[in-house]
Amino acid sequence: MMGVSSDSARSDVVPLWCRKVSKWHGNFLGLNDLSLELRPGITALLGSNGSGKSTLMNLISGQLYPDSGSIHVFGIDPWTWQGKKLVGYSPDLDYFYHSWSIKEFLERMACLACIESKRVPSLLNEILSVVGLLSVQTTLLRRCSLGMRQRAKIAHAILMDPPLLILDEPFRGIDPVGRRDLVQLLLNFQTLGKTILVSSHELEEIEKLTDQVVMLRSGRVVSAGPVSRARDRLLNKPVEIALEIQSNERIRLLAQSVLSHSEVLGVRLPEGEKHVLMVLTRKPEHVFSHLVMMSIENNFLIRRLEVVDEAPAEVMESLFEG
Amino acid sequence: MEFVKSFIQGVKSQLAVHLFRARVGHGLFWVSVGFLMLVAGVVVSVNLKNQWNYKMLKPRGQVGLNFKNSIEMIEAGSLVLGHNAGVSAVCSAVASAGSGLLIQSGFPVFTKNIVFSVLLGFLLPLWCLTFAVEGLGAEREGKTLFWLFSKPVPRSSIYIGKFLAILPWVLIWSLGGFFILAVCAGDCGLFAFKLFWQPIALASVTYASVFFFMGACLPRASLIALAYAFVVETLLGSMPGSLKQLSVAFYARCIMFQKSAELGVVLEQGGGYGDFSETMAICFMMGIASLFLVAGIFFFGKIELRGQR
Repeated sequence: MMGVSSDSARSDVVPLWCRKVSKWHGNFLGLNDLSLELRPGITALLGSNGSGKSTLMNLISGQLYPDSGSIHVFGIDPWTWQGKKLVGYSPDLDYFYHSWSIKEFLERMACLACIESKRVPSLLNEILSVVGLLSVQTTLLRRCSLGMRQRAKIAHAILMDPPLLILDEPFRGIDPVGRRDLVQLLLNFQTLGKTILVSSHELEEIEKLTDQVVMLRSGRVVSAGPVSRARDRLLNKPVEIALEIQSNERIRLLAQSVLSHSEVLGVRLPEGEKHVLMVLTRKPEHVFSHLVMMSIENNFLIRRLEVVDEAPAEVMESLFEG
Repeated sequence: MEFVKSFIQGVKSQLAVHLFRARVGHGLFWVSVGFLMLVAGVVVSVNLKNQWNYKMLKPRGQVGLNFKNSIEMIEAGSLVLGHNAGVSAVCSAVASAGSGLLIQSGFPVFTKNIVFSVLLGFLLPLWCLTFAVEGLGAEREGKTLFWLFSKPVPRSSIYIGKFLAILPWVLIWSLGGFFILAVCAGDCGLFAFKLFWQPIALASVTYASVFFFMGACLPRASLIALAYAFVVETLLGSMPGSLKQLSVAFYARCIMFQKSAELGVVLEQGGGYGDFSETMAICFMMGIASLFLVAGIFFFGKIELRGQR
């Protein structure tokens, strides 16, 4: 469903059209010649920290202006006030008017959005009930949990009933029941024909939402397509095994022996850790048995043999490696 | 046409949300209150010791002109001057006598020492920046600008709407503060308030525009505004020569100088305040206010929320 149109005339009919967009943050290139086109439905935006997800979302919502290239939302520049009508944005920021209650916040946001005052009470009731905040609407924002504030942001994003929703990390801080409700809510929006771009580190929730993902790395789109492709890459990603032996004398000999195994991609000696050999492989179960057999044959005394845990961000990063 | 409609809606919505919700509990507010109380205390103290020269105006227990009478005489004299040569001569004499009384009264002392120096050179900029810098500066510092920028209204309407929303607070605070000082000074203070409230109001609007621009467009706006207030308004504004023309207070002083001169009271000799007519000074102040509003709209329209995360 995604791709890049060569015909710029299409920009006024597709919900989101980005062409050769670059954005610098000082000396750091946040987005690099990015082109993207979205059609109605839900699309997930994946990428590690610093890959350019939030920069892209800020550009689409008109909070940033591209240094080069162009972005159109239904043919309109989202930086302009006309473009703001078409985009509902839930940012990954947690700054509110903390002395206001949820209801006051949404009432005043509705007022600032020039929504007819007669419509506001019924509209707020509907939105608060949709996001599950009706019973806590008088709670001050400074007393709200992270999950409640996330819902308030989503309520703000849908206040103007925009055709394009941009949700940056909407699942962050929301409990499992809330996540289920949010997934259902977004699926309902999808059936109404809206275009939704969601960024998240929660692959499980993303899989429930959509099959379409856009992967960013270093400000570029590295992949766009079904989520199953990302999963396969995750399953096939290389892992490191830490092998610690009693003596350091024969560690180079051990390294040579380990490298002879066909499933081993590489070895390294970590700095500051004596007697340890790090082994890189895609099939740790095969390499494990090989290492055990080799230690018995060569009389190595193994102290430790384990797959090194990776932080979620690193796991995500591995998805985006070429 | 659509832009104009949206602009008006944007201004109206900003006023509806922000007009009566100025933040008054912040540090600068209490600093302003503190200085007002300090100066009011000094004025009350001087007044209690009768050091505004009231004795010279009307000795206690004696029949004669009081301060109010002298002003009425001057006004009456001014009205009929020029209509009839004989009457004019009499009235001119009466007016001169009134001016003489006024010069000897506490009015020039209060105006020179409190209104000219302390109020215009120090208190007024401080009071104005208290609310004006906070207008959009608080949104910048609190990183809540996003909520304004995500709305389908022109940025210029957000800027103007917010400015209009803080303006009543600035005027209430500056004129209210001036009135409190005037009340503390007694009759001469109240006369000065009646005579000078317009230039003080105009100076407040000009300061509001300058400080609002700083709050909206500059980082660490409170510090920059304080530095501006003390360096440009207090120091430069009280320097001899033409450097003082860089300060807003200079033009307010020009108007006050003219108004006093009309009553025969020369507030400060050789200060250069007579070089600008009242109309010119008003135009200069309105020009500065407009310039900063336009500059603010321009730069505010270009702000990107890159540092909001």
